[in-house]
Amino acid sequence: MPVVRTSIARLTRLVGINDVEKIIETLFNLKCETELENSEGIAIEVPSERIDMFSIEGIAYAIRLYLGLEKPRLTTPKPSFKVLVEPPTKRPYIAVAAVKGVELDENSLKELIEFQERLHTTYGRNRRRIAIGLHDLSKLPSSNLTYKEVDINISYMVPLFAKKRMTVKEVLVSTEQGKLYGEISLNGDRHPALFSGNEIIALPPVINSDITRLDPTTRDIFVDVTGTDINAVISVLNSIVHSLMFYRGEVLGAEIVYPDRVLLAPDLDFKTIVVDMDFASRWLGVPKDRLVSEVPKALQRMGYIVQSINLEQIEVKVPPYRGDILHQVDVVEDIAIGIGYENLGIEYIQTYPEKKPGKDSKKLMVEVLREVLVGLGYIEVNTLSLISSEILKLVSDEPFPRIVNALSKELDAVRNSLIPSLLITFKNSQYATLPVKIFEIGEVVERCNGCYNNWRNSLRAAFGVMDSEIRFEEIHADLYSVLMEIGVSKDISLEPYRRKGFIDGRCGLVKYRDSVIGVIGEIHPEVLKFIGLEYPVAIVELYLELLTDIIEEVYLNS
Amino acid sequence: MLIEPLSKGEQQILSILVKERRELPIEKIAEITQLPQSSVSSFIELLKNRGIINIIEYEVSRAKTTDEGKLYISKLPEEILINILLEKGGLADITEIENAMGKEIANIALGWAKRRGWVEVIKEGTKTLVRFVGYESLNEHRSLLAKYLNEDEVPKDLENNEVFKELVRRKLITVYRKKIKFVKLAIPIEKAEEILRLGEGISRLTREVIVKDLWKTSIIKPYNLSALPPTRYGGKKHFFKEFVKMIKEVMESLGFEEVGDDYIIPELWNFDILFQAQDHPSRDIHDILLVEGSANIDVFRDVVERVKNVHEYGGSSGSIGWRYQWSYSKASRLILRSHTTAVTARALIGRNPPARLYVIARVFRRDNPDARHSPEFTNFDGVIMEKDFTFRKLLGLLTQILRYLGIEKLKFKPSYFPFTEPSVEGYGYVPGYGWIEIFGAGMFRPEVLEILGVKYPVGAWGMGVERIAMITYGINDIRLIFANDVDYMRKFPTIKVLVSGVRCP
Repeated sequence: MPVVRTSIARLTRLVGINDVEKIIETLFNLKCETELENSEGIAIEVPSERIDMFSIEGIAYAIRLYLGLEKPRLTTPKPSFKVLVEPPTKRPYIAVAAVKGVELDENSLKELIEFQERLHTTYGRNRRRIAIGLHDLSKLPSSNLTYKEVDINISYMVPLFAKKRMTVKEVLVSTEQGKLYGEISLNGDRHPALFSGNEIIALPPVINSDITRLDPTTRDIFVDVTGTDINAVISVLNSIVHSLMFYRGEVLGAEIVYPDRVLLAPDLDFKTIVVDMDFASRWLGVPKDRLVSEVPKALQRMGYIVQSINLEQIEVKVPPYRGDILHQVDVVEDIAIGIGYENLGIEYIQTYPEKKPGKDSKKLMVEVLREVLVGLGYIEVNTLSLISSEILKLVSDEPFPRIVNALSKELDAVRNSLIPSLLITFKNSQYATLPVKIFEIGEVVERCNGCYNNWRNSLRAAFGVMDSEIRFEEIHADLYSVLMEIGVSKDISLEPYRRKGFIDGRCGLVKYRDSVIGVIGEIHPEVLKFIGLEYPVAIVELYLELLTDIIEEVYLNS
Repeated sequence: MLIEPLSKGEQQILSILVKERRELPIEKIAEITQLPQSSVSSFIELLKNRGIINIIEYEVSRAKTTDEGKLYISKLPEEILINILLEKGGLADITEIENAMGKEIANIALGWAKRRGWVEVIKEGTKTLVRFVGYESLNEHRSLLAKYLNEDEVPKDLENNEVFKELVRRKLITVYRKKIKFVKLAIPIEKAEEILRLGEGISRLTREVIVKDLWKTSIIKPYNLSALPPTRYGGKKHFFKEFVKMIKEVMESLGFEEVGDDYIIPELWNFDILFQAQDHPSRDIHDILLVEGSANIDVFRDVVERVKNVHEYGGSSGSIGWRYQWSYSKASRLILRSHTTAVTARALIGRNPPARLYVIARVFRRDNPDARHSPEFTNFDGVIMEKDFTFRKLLGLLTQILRYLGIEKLKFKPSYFPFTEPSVEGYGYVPGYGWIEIFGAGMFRPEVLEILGVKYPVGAWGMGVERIAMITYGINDIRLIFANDVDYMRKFPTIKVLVSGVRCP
């Protein structure tokens, strides 16, 4: 979630009240978390879908509305610009507007640039989806603009903060922004550019021209927004204009002429949406008559203009800066917020005392195993399934899922057995009083060739002993004790087995009749030494899905 | 006094004291028992600590005949002088005597003979003559010299004996003083006899002791209870697993059924069915963990069709959708699930109300481990679908669940999640911590319901379990919950495991 920082003094001045507590409480209701920074600053975490609140002015406006200090107002832009569009291949859309009478100083200019960057990085997907240019309107050479692709070798401009004219190619190659964003919309030797008259004033999404640079004395701001998604371009322009309009200056609009259509920007019309009263009432659990009486005020403080309301429907005008309204349910949420969640009242749900969950044999077995292993002196551990592929390969040749974008070699795979997890735990417990006896019950991931997703989870239990010397009969006895407690010790046999990482002749498969339900053995000294373990270790791993089926068959179905 | 059985050595010493009926020096006891004096001393120390004996120190005189004294054991010098004199007929020249005895001894002998009045010295011209007067045998002197040939004690009366004193003065016997430890019974003799009758006592209770009634005749020895025992660690359940189990019990008691799924799933379940746009930042590869390969999502053709329609234009949900071109291959990409709403939402597909489902299971994020982050942690997610389910009921249900979790005071904050509307975050008040964000929740958006193919409202919530467990158990580093170090678990008291956390009313 984006964080907006400003001074408390500026926020209280813009909101128009000095009660900081009240402002913070209002922000809480408007989905914002706040944190006071030192004695003068405030950091406000704003919801990512409310791009109109990415600026201090937008936040202040929302607070003023919620507190009833402001009413939603309609504005009509004065047509002032004309933009001819020859849609660039990789960045076809543009919208522009200007707002006059903006209060700027060193600090608020900095905040304005931060607002722009916030839109670029989140909603703008790092300028890929949308990019914004802010200009000093008074420096604009002409109100006739063109947005088109230019040949980067023969077009010239003075990029922001540069001293001389250079080719667009040079801008892309030599400036910092050029290196960062130059590839995004480059189409062979051609790149999108915005002309005012004959001057390039912006090279979207890379950099603006220096000739229209903003400074603290700027009062009238010209905005261009370009992008790959026309809806996003319009939403962002609307939210910027909305913020700058906070100072109640005049809004200048543009006619955007595409080859196939003409678009007016900014689009400051409130769009009408009809909310079905039945839906709103059922969704929230609030009776319709209560809604009829409370919705007008609730929606007004959320910036809407309610045109009509009755027991059938609410006809409401949605403010133009709310690009996040996709469905009537979004208006319903704003009704709830406008009423206040704490005022909605809560309703307890019915429990079903008559419906007892049936015995789940897997859960039952897990609980039995935990009881028995604890009784045998084993300590339960809780380890990560993410593990190092190097360790997995030490004790098994079975496939395992590899993480494509792992952050470290220690966690670059998902375990396909609990044995490596126990080995790591033993390694880290060597300094503890011996013997160390541990167990874990958890899920591992196995290859599944018939599965749509190639892998499946498998529940396992593993227990092991580390001591200064190991007597195999102890873990062997514990295995039989465990099997006896889950009631399957009768048809068990151990079959000699060669397994990677175990000592030959000291490893066996645990079988119930003909099914393999686990493995038992002593870890090979070579493996122990490789992972840095100096004490012998004996381990059992049981496959619980098979065991569950057996228990189901032996006990629960008979 | 507690009667305790004695060890073999202690018994031996006590029986000597009882038999002798007097105080004895340690040396004497060592002599009688034929034990090394050091062993005797330690047994005596044990007996003293039990209050059975006292140790008394006396200063005694010891005497020993000197080398000179040994020479006179058959006759003292003055007796030899008398013999010589009588051989000469009662009168002899002093030079004759000196020649016979040696001048030095002759002088000593003459001195003592004169003092005893046995002889007279007469001067005749230049001659000095010695004349016999009388004689008394010095038997007592000789017997004393013989007595102290070996060092021995000097009885009190002997110390004042004139003869003894003379021998000491004449340096024929030397006397010195020495401290000696005496052992003396500190209890009446009858009591000591009773203790002896108890025998050695029983240290290990064995079958033989029980069956043969040995405990009736011998006492069972008490233990030294002030000594510390060796440290021992029993088996125990992991506190976090117990915490999860308690939440599961709460959910089952509210009529919820547990569901599950694989860790490795296509993005379809993790994001697309939850109406998260494919270019949404949370789907960025910097935040989720990818696995090689793609899933064959063809087998879920109906769901895939609905996902595509709803994403692109809202389908028939009444939404305008995301208005972009939805990518099948992106939805097929395999990842490690990043939340378990992926599990509950998928489990809802095609269900009819009422449905109450929950899951508590591992999820994965592309985070480096530190005190507050783990690349793998546990989500608790739930969904509830009823014909007349509402947002107010969702708030009620969450209040109920948190009560079960021991949180009484809570407040709701409007929030944003891509798949719920309205969305809410629940904050619980935890003494010592203040207001803590506990869960995210909301009503599944109509777009999501359309994708899942369900026709009734669904409330959903999710929370990170480790964070709540950390608060419950007062742990400040999430890595400790996954500690692969047995010492941490050994030292985590079971009382803390069971007393904290969930309490069912």
